[in-house]
Amino acid sequence: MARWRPYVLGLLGLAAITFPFLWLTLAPDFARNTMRVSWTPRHGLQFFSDLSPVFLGALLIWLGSWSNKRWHWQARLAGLVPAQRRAESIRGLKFALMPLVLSGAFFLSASSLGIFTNVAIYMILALGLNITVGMTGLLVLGYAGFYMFGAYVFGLGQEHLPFFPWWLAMPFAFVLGGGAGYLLGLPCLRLRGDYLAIVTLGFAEAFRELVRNLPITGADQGILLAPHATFRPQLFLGKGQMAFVITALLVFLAVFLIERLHRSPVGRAWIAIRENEIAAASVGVPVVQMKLLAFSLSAAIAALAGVIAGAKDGFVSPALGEFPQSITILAMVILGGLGNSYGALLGAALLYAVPQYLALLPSTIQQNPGLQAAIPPFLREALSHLSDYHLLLFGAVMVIMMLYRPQGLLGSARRKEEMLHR
Amino acid sequence: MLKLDRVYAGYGAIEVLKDLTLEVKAGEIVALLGANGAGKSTTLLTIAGVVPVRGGAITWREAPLPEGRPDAVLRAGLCLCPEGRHIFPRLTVLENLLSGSLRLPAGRNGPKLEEVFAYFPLLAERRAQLGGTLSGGEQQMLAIGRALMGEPQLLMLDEPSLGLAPQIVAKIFEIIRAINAKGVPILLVEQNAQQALRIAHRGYVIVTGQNSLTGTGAELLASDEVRQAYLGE
Ligand SMILES: Nc1ncnc2c1ncn2[C@@H]1O[C@H](COP(=O)(O)OP(=O)(O)OP(=O)(O)O)[C@@H](O)[C@H]1O
Ligand SMILES: [Mg+2]
Repeated sequence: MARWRPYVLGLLGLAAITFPFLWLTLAPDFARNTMRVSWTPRHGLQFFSDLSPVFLGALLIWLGSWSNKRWHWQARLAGLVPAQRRAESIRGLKFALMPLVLSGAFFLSASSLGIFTNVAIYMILALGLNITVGMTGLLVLGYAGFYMFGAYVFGLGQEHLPFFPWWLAMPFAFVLGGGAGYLLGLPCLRLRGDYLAIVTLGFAEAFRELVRNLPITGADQGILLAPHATFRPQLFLGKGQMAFVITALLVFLAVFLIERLHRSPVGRAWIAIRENEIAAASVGVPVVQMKLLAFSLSAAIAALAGVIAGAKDGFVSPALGEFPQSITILAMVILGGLGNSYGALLGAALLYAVPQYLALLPSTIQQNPGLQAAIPPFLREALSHLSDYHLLLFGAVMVIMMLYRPQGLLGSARRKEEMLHR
Repeated sequence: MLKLDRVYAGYGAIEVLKDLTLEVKAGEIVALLGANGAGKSTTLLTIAGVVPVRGGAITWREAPLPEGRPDAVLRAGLCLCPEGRHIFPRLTVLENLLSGSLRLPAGRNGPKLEEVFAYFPLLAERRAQLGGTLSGGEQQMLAIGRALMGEPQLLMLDEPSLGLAPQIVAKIFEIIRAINAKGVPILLVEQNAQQALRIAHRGYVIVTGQNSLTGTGAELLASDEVRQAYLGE
């Protein structure tokens, strides 16, 4: 039983999180600045409400343990794979997460799906920035510049080439973004700490101003993308579902690849540079090359995210590259825990999704008599001003974090294992 | 084994090494002496491939040393223990040591660790402690131990006695001698001229990046120039 415990607990936990959403609908309605809250079984989704994930999970576990008793497949598998039970069960849970997240495309409302697509885009950005800031220890303040760069590779390519859909633009933007990062890195990486941060910020702002003032880039209006080049309904998926599924898949891919890299000699070289550059050089880390690699890989990832943003919105504009964007992404990485990819994911989810829902809370309460009756007046009063103060709250959270958990939510636990194993 | 032939190197517009020539032969301890800012650390960093060579040639075992590639230099067997105890403060002692052999083929860690722990029994006791929480002298031992993990065929030590109490200094010099006795040639940069020359087979004195004096350890210890400039006599 002990071996099953993590799977069982994990599945129960996942089910507990998703179970309410079989009845609970949180549907943001931005046009009316409110959120529809309802607690009814979803129509058209009888399959899910009848055979909820809990039953499904229980069934799977029962099937699994029954077949294991019969055929001892677990012992046989364990014979094939060396005993690293803990790591294995964690990997098993991560794997179980994928279908669960992807099935969100079917049971989330369209507007929630939009929010979660944006969360996924920010996750990709935070993962990318974490490579430079978290793993290699290079502070970059102009990261959104690369995001915007990727979007404009898509926009301009789509405008001037006969055929340039998003899936073709992605590898292009990735390579060009990486190249741009490399070229920018050559002069920048001679600088240390604060100077590097300021120079990247300067380049990002200069690039945005350039785009805003050049006729071929469509100035502030940006570039409208032809519908055939963007995400569109395909197979059995709607446009929004398509955007969500593709972005979510890319998040999984990015986590997988970056974590492999993190544990490889390249990742250890980055960590060594972060911990002490001179020591790194003296244990034989090619410092400049490794910094350039980190810098251009993270630029490439941002550019890829830029293509997704374009394909989702149907246009690209200089707004993508604004300074607050860079800061938000940086805050996600820091909140989650520098150097930890899962922290970057958590940071992105918290810092993007929470304010979105929070902003809709007061008007939702106001327009919903049932909720109004359920919440005591003083709490209602406080909640109604919540969104006015959300930046203040955000600041307070950051200060508290710096005081009590400077390593971020998912920091330090992994620091020790980072350097060790070959 | 290692030869620097009329080497020039520097940073930006600053020329630090001007026409520097020196040699380390098999099995030797060679001391490199000079005033503050003379370019001793720069010499070691240039050999290690961190500072680029601007003129002249560095050869290692009769072949040119890869330039500007710290990793390649390390793989060729030249390990630098930099000035100022640059260890990884947030990694444990053991992890710090293992980082020294990251560039080598796997599987040789065990015997190497034994060897380092034999020189520095204290590190074995403290293997789980974070590097940053060691005392200065312990950090210096860790830095030397980490360089040894790279299986050096030439060990470069930059001021290993910096800021240490006399007893510990004596102990470090003893260990340097022991390492050398096992056949590892050592290029030693020191302010502590007396002690360094006592264990060194030969030495060089450099002034503003240029050769000034050279000779055996005993010769240099006896020379007026060294006595006046470094021993305060
Ligand atoms: N990164 C650098 N950029 C510019 N100049 C430097 C740099 N590092 C060292 N220098 C200069 O090069 C000269 C030689 O420095 P170096 O560190 O080699 O001296 P040193 O002989 O090791 O002195 P010390 O005994 O004080 O350690 C000094 O004038 C120093 O200011
Ligand atoms: Mg020095």
